[in-house]
Amino acid sequence: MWRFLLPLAAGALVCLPASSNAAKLTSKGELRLETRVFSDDGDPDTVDAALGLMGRVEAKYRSKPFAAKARLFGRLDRQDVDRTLLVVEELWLETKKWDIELRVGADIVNWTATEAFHPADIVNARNLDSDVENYEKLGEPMVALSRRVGHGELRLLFMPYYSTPILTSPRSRLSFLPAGFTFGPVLRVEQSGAFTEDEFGAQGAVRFTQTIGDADIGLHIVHHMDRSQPEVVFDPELGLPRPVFRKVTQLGGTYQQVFDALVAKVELGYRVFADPDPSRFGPLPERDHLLAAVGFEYGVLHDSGVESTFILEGQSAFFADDEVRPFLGVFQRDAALGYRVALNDAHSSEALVTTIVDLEDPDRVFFNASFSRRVFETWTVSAAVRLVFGPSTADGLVIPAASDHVRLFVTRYF
Amino acid sequence: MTTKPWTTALLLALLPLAASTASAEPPSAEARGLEIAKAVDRANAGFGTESSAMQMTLINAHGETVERKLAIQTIEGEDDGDKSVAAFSWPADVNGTKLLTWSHKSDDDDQWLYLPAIKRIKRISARNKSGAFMGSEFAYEDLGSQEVEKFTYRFVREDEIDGRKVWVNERRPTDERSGYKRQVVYTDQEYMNPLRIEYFDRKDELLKTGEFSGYTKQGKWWRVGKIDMFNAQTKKRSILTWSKRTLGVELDEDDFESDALSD
Repeated sequence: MWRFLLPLAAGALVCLPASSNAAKLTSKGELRLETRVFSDDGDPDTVDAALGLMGRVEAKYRSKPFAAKARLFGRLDRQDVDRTLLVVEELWLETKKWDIELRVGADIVNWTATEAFHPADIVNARNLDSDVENYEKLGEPMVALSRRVGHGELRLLFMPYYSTPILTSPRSRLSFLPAGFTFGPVLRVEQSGAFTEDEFGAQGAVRFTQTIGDADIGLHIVHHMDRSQPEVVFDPELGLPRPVFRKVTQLGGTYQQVFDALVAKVELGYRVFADPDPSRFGPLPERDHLLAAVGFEYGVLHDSGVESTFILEGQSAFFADDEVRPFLGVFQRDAALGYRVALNDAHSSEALVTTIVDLEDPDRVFFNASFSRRVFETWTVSAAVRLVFGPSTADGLVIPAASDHVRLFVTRYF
Repeated sequence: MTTKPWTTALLLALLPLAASTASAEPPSAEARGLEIAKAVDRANAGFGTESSAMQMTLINAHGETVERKLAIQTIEGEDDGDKSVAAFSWPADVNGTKLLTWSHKSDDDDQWLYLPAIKRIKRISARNKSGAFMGSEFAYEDLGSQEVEKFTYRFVREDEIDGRKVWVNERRPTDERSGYKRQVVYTDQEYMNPLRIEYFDRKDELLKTGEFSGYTKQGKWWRVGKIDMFNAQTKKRSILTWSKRTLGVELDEDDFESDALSD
């Protein structure tokens, strides 16, 4: 895909107006030293300690009515080479005419309202070997048309490429499969039910947003090849487990409203999946369901100037069989409780503690604590601890137990 | 209708005389304070749009300094408050972060924060307006739109600062969540803008003093070039300096919608 997009974008960038009074070229980047150390699982096939280097560069050009942007993200991992990657997050060209904005290229969209659960935010594929609460997103090749409507917009997306999430490597401690097992090639299910290995097909989305008083509303329809956590089937021909992604249509929305110091949030997604042809792997379970998340965020400013934010969220899957629900995603019926404290100092020091509890099995608890602080003017340091309590993953694609780890990031911005 | 500053000043000077002629009673300190506030509001209205680049120097009690840089675009509201987008560019880790504010005359402001790393537009509560702005001695409410309706007023006296005539006006925030019990505003009679503001905390103790200087005139509007905010309690200081400022610049109203924050 990128071998077509990159020369096209480069050519278009050259063709853009060379200069004008309003023309502006900006760039920025970051380089981050990452360490991720898991508790020892005694398994020599897994990587417990990782030392990586992450880099992100961004360049943006704007000369109204034209704009272009490129943002690339890469990671080199010394211990687990499967985590080494280069991701095009954004690579697009934009123009505006007759109040309609046209953007062509890879882009990241963020439709989320809540902090921990994101049922409405499904357009981009993710790196499933990253932070489970905020997975790294992969740029989605698309043609986007948008038009301002009142205090909001109507946006249409056409997406021709079947993006696939980056699955955890077999050596990763976050892998869905037992250590040493690898996935076979990805299989996809078209709307007709036919299995395919094609990478291209028609996909689209429509989103309408509006601000009404203290409330923000977003409604969407997305029809695309699913890119959340895959189903896994065993392919006897290859002798390998294969991830399966189905065509899905999602009707969903977001709602946010400010009540004084409280912000209330709702995210919904009703998902209707294509039914796979049973002749190849037998009948696969029905996956249609509604995923709903509700959240509250309450801020308190203390006399000292320190700001506390309390977060309470819950997410549940509805209309799904109990046997299927564990396979729909990481969080199927969970509650999150969080506390963020910002010192409001010159170093932007901030700490966040979150706990996510599986409401169906309260023994499953996911705990995260992190702290970040600016050091000098161009450096930040952040550290995080994650603890996962509960049984193993044998009953579904949940957060792997015994994946406790510590992360330390040192980032230089430029 | 627009009013020239000197005309406004003359009207205000004659206000007690006119009032005494009409009713034979001088206006109350509250009425005169409100009239000054309205006159200042009128004198600063009508600019339409404004674009500015600012630098903020934070100086701690030991004299150590750190810098902040941002650009602000403002579009004047007709019936309600102004709309503004603040785009932060320094420190480097906040480069690209934007804050959209829709000010309201009486209600709480609407605010959205754009986080560029994850391309998220987040609706935030504007309730905690007394919080520090980027870790500085400025609070969000110091830099927000100073709508007349957000305060009650009491005229104190006429005075001079460095040879310039000022009205000294006390104003009290109507919002009980303001970080201040009251502010004493020294308004220059020519600039129709403050030369000094003394901020008193909820315990009515002097918290900080802002010294406004470097006024320049663009069209008929005077605009401040520098605000030196000294916190009397922590001994910290923040200096806000405008490096560029243009009034009446061409801005797209669509850019002041929350969806437009993302790029």
